[in-house]
Amino acid sequence: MSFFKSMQISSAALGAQRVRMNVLSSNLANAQTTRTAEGGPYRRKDVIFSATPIGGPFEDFIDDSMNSQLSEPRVVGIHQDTKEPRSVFDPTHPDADKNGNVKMPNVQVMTEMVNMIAATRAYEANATALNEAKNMAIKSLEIGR
Amino acid sequence: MSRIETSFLKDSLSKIADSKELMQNLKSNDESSSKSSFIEHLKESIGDVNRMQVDADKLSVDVATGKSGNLHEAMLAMSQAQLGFNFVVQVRNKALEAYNEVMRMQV
Repeated sequence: MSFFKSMQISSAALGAQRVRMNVLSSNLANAQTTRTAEGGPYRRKDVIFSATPIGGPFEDFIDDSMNSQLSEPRVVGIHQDTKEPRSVFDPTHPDADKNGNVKMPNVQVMTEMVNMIAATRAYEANATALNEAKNMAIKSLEIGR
Repeated sequence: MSRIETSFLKDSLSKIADSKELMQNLKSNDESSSKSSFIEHLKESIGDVNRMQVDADKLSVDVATGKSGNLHEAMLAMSQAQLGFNFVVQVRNKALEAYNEVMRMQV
């Protein structure tokens, strides 16, 4: 059903933005983390979105050709930022090297905050789109009343 | 809650079905092969709507008990169930309207 299709797309976008928000929270929370399981400071992470066609191939086949043009965003991976860690001079830190420099995560708090605002706005936009699709469906139920 | 509502719908549907049988008996020429198809379709879609409500119920229980954090999917399932239910109610209203119209007819 086409109404449910647009809602499904918006729902996928909501899910994708939520994953992005989780990753951003992780970045922000680990902005001062100097130890990780793989060694070294925490490295900033970001999500990779991919537009995937909605429905299976069979569904595309039986549906009209318009629907096969539609795609929904999916998180296909989380990549690490390759930027070098920040070097901070702090000889009293247990993780300092012999010159007294500590490698801090390559997370920039400001950038993460801006990304978070963007994620929130994108979530809002998709929630609004979902609501509007629902309102359209409700309006069509009022036809002939 | 959904059970009660759907059983109420089924009641009114069976009433319509009864009246349909009555009409069939009144008519002398019966092409009875595909007579009940509308009612069958309606029953089917009521089953679908009921399934949507059960799904929405399950998702919201999962969210409420902390089993899943998919808040938006639960809300979406609830919205879809609501839309489906409203649609079936509208169909029922129309069918009942037609039935009443027939019953008011002067013979």
